[in-house]
Amino acid sequence: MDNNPNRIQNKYTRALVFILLLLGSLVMLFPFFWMISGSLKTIREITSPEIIWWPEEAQWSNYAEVLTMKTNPFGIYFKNSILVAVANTVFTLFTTILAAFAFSRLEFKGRDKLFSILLATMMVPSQMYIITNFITITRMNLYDSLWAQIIPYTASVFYIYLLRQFFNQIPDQIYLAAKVDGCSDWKYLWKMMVPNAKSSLVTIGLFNFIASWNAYLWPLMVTGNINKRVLSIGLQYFASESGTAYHLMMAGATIVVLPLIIIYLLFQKYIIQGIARGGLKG
Amino acid sequence: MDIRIEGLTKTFTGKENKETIAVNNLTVTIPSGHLVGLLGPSGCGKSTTLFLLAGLHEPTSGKIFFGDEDVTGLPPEKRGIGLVFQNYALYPHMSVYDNIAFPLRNSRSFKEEHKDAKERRAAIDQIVQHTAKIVAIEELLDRKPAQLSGGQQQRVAIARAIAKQPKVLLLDEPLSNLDARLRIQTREEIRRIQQATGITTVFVTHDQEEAMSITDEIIVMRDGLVQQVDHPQETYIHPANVFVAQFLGNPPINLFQAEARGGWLIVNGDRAMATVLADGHYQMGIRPESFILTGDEGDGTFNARIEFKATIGRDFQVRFDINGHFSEALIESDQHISEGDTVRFALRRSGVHLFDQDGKRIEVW
Amino acid sequence: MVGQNQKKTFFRAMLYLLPALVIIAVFVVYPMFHTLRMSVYEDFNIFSKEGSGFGLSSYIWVLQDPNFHKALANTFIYAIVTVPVSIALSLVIAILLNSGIKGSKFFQTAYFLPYVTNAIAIGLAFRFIFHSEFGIFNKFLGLFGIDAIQWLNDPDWAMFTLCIFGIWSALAFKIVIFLAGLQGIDPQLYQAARIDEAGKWKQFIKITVPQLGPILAYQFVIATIGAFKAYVEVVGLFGDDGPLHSATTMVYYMYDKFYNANRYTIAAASGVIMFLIIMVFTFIQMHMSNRRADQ
Repeated sequence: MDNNPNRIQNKYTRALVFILLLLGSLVMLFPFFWMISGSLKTIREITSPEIIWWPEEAQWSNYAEVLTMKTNPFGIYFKNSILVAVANTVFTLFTTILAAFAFSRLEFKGRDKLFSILLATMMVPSQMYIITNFITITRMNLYDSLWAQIIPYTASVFYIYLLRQFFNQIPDQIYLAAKVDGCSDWKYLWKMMVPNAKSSLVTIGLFNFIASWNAYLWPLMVTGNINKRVLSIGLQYFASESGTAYHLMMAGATIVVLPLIIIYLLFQKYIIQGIARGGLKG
Repeated sequence: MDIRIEGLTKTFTGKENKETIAVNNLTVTIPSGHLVGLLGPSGCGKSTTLFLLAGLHEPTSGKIFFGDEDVTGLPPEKRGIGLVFQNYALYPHMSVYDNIAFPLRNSRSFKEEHKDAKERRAAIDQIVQHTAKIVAIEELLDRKPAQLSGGQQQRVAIARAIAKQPKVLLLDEPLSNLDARLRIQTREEIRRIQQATGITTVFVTHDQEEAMSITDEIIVMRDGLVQQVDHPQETYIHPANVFVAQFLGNPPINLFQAEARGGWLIVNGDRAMATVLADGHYQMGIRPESFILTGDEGDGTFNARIEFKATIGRDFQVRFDINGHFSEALIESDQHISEGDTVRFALRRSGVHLFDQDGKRIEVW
Repeated sequence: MVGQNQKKTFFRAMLYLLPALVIIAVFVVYPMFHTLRMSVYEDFNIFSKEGSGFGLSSYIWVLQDPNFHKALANTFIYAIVTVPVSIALSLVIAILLNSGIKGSKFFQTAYFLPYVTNAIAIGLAFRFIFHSEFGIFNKFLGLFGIDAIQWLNDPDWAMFTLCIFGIWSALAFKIVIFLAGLQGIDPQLYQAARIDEAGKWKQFIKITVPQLGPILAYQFVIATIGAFKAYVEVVGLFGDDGPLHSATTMVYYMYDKFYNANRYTIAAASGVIMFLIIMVFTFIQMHMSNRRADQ
């Protein structure tokens, strides 16, 4: 017995839907395919008036060329992106875990008021405060450093909110039982709450990593030195400097996107659940 | 270790600063090694009392002694108690073994007794194995709580609570999440474990049958006030007041207004029972099993018209009016009786209780 | 609990909150007020932190700036086009994905993929696809004898191309949300409808749409707020704000005034204006979710 009530019974309609979905998915995937295909072409192939779906011989050397460029050192960009995203994620998880715990478990005066004030700050678009943050970072003498890209995003009201939701689902009685068993708050957080919130933490970590990897405006503002650029910025500079070398641009773009695709394929379940559950920002 | 509670009071401040008294001036002593049931309807303050004993609530006033030690100001982990929660509160990501070992691993005194880490681990292992044997879960030690049935989880929770050899074992509605058959089995198990370990045990329940069947003593509570402290059977045979009489017994006692006139209690217009009470109105309670069908007429019996009859196994359940109160009796089913019959009842004196209008028991009537 | 006093608990809670609160205070709360403060001066020295010419002159300047008008108009066009189109498309795709078709696992993976991609990198791929000379799109149109269109270089086409890119980027997130919503509908509703002999279309109108109502509304607001913040899509596709600034947006305007023109007070004022516009939609959303919670 088929238990999906939305299942289409008519065989021809089903075939039609299948074809529609297939065409649609081709549209969705085409830019990725075209980027990768382009990254493996010669300059002649890429500027040819004919449509060339796949290069005659894959030019892996394009990648080597991009990664070792003097003017746009993608190797360094890549390293910077990894450093920034990992540091960002580790710090964010740390501040989020501590704050979510305090808001969900500790009963201190003014807790609910403080929490609603924090929630209210979510209404302000982040674009509005980067102006001031630029001034702050400059005055802290952090302009042109990786720290400038890391520090302002090491705490997020939204993630605190999400994790608090999850922590709240862990029954009070577990906490009381642990208290009777002589467990301190600190130990309770790390031995009980964190292991139980693993999937939420993975989701938050993934979203933070992806957001950091894709950040553009802020890193653009706080970096001048080539050696401090992250991939998004480096790729943009490279694109504006390289004229029609689209095969190299596509190689660069692939380098930026490939880690994301891998993360997506590995953690699809967490990412989809995260969006669906939290209504994470688009 | 005996538990002495003196003048214990707990008030909660709710919304709009409304105060509710959950436990009101409770004074009671629980003898060492006894299994005591805290019984009452929900909201009577029994769970609050348990949490006060555990140190999870702070009393508004009053004192708690474990033996000679005043524990009122001690945090939960320093009281030497084991606590079993209503929904067990097992640590979901830990194996059964780790759940049981957890309190030992946290215990500072245990650490001091077993300074060497290796030796400590061996000692913990021995205790866990031993405790698991007591509650019969040796073969489940590697499992996670989610892989256990309700009854098994219950045993693990008890094992965790007794592993650290507590002075006092506290159980909060430990059987309410089990199905009927398991409940009976488990409550006998609790009795067995309690007797095997000899730990003074307090156990909260709203189920009178549970309390009656395994406890040495019952504390009946209502609205934060103790109603009666007694042996289980005594609370049934000699209820201290109307509330206790009504709360204990299934089916519940039939309670109605009766008049004493000229040395007789009047039921349905008949002189149903002799009494020494002065003329006046009293509350009268009759246990359902205390009605006797009789062929006699005249004093000491009364009339009732059967409105409803059902056969429940060994007994008939019959219902009829007594002084305007729809009442119930259990009659042996070998009697011939039909709906619509008017029958004559006599009463077994031990199943009849009289109370004054304030609900207090009248001992001599 | 025994052994805890209020002061100690408060102090300990603050220790737990400290790392997050410090960051949020310095980089979120303080900037809100500081940006607001900058916006009410005519000139502001970011080193001495002193402003001169207190008043609304920066706002007046922004509101009279034709470039801001352009940015505002573009942002609205972008929102008005991409939001309804992407919502309609994603709803259709979600419904098709939910109709028990073979290979729906693969399709889901394909349709969700754009959610994780970097707008600069994939914008570059789009730039290549829409390239007037080497782009596959024009080559493809050429097969039908259509002359090459200057998708990226003609100011008249720029917004159109931007909207296509915007829609493509926005689909994945919405499909995920719709699909979760569809799967949350109680199947018994459909079974009951089938017993009552309701056809597919009737089931859609009478069950699916009302059940998805709140999600639909939520998507509209979230997508609109997102569209008002459009920036990285523009840079990804054009490298700047389009031919002759034809695809400039509010965020782009603010960034440009701050970073390239060093007009700090102007940038701040435009930021506040953007905040106010977004605020309206945020309140709509809050109002709706409150109503939902009331029901």
